[in-house]
Amino acid sequence: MGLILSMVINRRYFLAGTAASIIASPGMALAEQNKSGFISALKTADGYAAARLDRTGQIQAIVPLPGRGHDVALSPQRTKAVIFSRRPGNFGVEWDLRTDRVTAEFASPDNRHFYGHGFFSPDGRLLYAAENNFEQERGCLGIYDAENNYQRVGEYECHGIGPHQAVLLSNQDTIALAVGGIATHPDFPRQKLNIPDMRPSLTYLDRRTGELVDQVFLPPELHQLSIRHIAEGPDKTVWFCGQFQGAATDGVNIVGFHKIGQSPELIALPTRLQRQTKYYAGSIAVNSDKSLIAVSFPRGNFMVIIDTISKALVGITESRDICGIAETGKRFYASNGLGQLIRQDGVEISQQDVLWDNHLRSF
Amino acid sequence: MNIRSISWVIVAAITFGLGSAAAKADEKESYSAAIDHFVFDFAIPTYANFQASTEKLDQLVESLCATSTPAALNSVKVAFRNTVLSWSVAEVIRFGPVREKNRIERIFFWPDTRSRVQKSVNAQLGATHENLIAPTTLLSGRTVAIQGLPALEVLLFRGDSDRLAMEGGDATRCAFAKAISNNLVNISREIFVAWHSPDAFQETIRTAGPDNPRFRSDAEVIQEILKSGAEMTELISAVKLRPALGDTAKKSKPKRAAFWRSGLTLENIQANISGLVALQEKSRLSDLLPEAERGYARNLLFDARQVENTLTKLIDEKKPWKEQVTETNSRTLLLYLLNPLGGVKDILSIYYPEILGLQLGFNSLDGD
Repeated sequence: MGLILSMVINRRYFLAGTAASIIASPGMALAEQNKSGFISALKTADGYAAARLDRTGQIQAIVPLPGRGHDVALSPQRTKAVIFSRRPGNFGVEWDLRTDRVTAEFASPDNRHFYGHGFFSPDGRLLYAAENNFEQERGCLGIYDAENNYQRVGEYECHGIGPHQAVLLSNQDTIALAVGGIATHPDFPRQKLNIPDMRPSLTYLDRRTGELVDQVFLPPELHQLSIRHIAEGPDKTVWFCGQFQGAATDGVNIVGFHKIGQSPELIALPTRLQRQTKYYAGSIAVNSDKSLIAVSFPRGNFMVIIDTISKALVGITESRDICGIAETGKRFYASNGLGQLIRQDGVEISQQDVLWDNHLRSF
Repeated sequence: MNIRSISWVIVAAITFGLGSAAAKADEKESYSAAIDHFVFDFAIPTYANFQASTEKLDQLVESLCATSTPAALNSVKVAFRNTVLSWSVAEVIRFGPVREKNRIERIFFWPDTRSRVQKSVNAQLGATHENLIAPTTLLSGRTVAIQGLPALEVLLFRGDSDRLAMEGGDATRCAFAKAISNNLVNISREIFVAWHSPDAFQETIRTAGPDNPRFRSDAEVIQEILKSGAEMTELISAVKLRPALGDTAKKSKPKRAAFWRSGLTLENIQANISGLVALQEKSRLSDLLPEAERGYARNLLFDARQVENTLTKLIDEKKPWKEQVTETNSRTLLLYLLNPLGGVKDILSIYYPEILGLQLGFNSLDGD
C-alpha cells in the first residue's frame, strides 16, 4: 500500500499525503480478478473518500480524496473508475479496479471546474466531463485523453449553463446532457446566480463532432426545474429528474422522459408523494433490461420505481436520506447518508460507519 | 407538454420520516408555539419594518424628483440606508413569499459576478426616448438586475449620482430611481400581506400536516426556520466576506462585497446578525431545548455579540471598505469574524437540529 502515483501533478491541488495512498482490507488480493460490486464517494470523520464495496455491501477498498467526490465514470471494460469531485471541485482520480491502485490524478483547467459527472468513450480512450466555464457562464464538456495522464484535449459547447449528468447513449454516438440551467461561480461557492433567468434543457450532442443533435426546454412555468440527472430507458428514451428552484407548491412534477425529436413528458406522482419529494430528486438509474427506472428523493426519504413502458409506479422504498441508486441486473440497490446499503425491497444489506454520497455505481 | 398521471401497481403502506415521527404531544405544542412566535413576533414585524422603510424611501425619491437639491439627495441616501438595514434583518428569512415570484432577487440581485446591474443601469440611462422608464413604469416584468436595491445603489452612489441633485434634476435618472423605489414598495407589500393575511402563507406555515402543500409537520417548519438561519450565516461567511477578503490582502476583491458603493457592507452584515439573534429570541427557540441544553442558545448570543462588537469596531474606524480589506489591523478583525460566525452556524445547523432530532441528511443538503 502507500502507492505514489506516476502522474502529472496539477496546479490547484494535489492529493496530499494519505490521500495518495490506498487503504485496503488486509485480506484483499491486489490482483483479484472478476470483482464486482459498487463504488461510491463517501464522507467519514477523517474526510472525503471513495470506496469499493462487494455485493454484500462490505467495503473492500477506500481511496481518500482531497475534497468531496460525486459520481464515478466506469471504463467500458469496467477495469477503471474515475471519481469526479463535486462542484465546484476540480479533481479527478483514476482508480484501477483490478489492483485497487490509484493510477492517475488530474484536474480541470483553472478557468473550469467539474460538475461531478462524466463518461468514457466506447473504446475507453477518452473521458468526457461536464464542466463549468464560469467566467463566460457557459457549460462545456471537457475531453481528456485517458491514455495520456488525462491531458485535456478539447471541449464541446453544451449550449446552456450548468451541465450536470452527461451520459453516452447506447448508440454510442449521442451524448445526452442534463443541463441544469443554474449559473455558479467558484468565487461564491454554490451560490446560485441566475434563478430568475435559468433555462434548463435536455441537450444532445454528436460524440464525434460535438454538434448539437437536439435540445429541448421545459415549458416556461417549469423554467426553474433544474434538470440534473438522466438515464437511458428503452426505445431511445432518456429519463430525467430535477430539483425545483422556485417556491415549493403543488403541481410541480420533477420526473420525466424524452425522446429525440419529440417533446418531453412529465410523470405526475400522486399528490402526497409529489409533495413528499420536496421537489428535489437526488439520482436516477435504469435496470439492465431498461424495464424499470428508479428515482431517489433524499429530502423525502424515499425512492420510487417506475415501469418504463406502462409508466406505472411499481414500488416505493423508504429510507432516510436515500440518494445513490445502482442497478444489479433487473433490480436496484440504494445507498443513504446513514451509511446503509439497501435493496429495493427496503432490506438493509450493510451498515458502514460512513456517509454515502449522492451516487452509487455498480460494476 | 404531456403530463402522465401515474397509476399504482403496488401500493405500499407508507409512513414517512418526520411526518410520522409521532412527535410527542409536548413537543408538538412547543413547536407550534415557536412557530407562532416566529410568525407574529419576528416575521410580520420584520416585514412591516421593511415595508415602512420602502414607503419612506419612495416618498423621498418622489420629493427629490420634484425638487432636486443636495439636501433632498442626502435624505434619499439616508432612506436608502434604512431600507438596506431593514432588508438585512428580513434577509434572514430565506423561505416563504420572499422566494416566490423571484422576489428575493428582485429586491437584492447579488452576487452579480458579471456586473449585470451596472450594465443594465447604463443601458437604461442611455435608452432611447420610447424605452425610457417613467416613474410609474412597472418593473416587475423587466430584468431583476434593475428592480431592486443594487440598481438604486448605483443610481444614488456612483460617481455620477450628483446629477440627481442638480438644479432642474436629471429627469431620466430620477424617473428610474422612482420606478425602483415604487417597485420595492410593491414587493415589500406583497411579502407583508402574504405573512400577515391569515389565509395566505401564514396559514401554510401554521397548519402543517399531511394535507399541507408545503409542510407535513411542525417539525419541518422548525427545521426550515433553523435552516434559514444557518444559510444566512453561511452566506455572510462564504459569500459576503471571503470572496472580498481573498486568500491574502493582495488577492482581496473589495468590489465582490455587497453594498460596497454605498459603504453599507459592514452595516448590512451587522443587521443580518441582529436578525439572526432576533430570529432565535423572538421565536423563543431556546424553549424547544431541554433545560440542560439551553446553553447552546446562550452560546449563539455570545458568538453573535462577538461578531457585532467586531463589526462596530470596524464601522467606527470610518475607513473606506477598500482599505479595510487590505490594511492589516482591519483585515485581521474581518478575518476574525469568520470564527464566531462559524459558531453561530454550528449552533443553528448542528446543535439545535441534533438536540431536536431534526438533522438534515448528508444527501438532503443543497446538493447536486
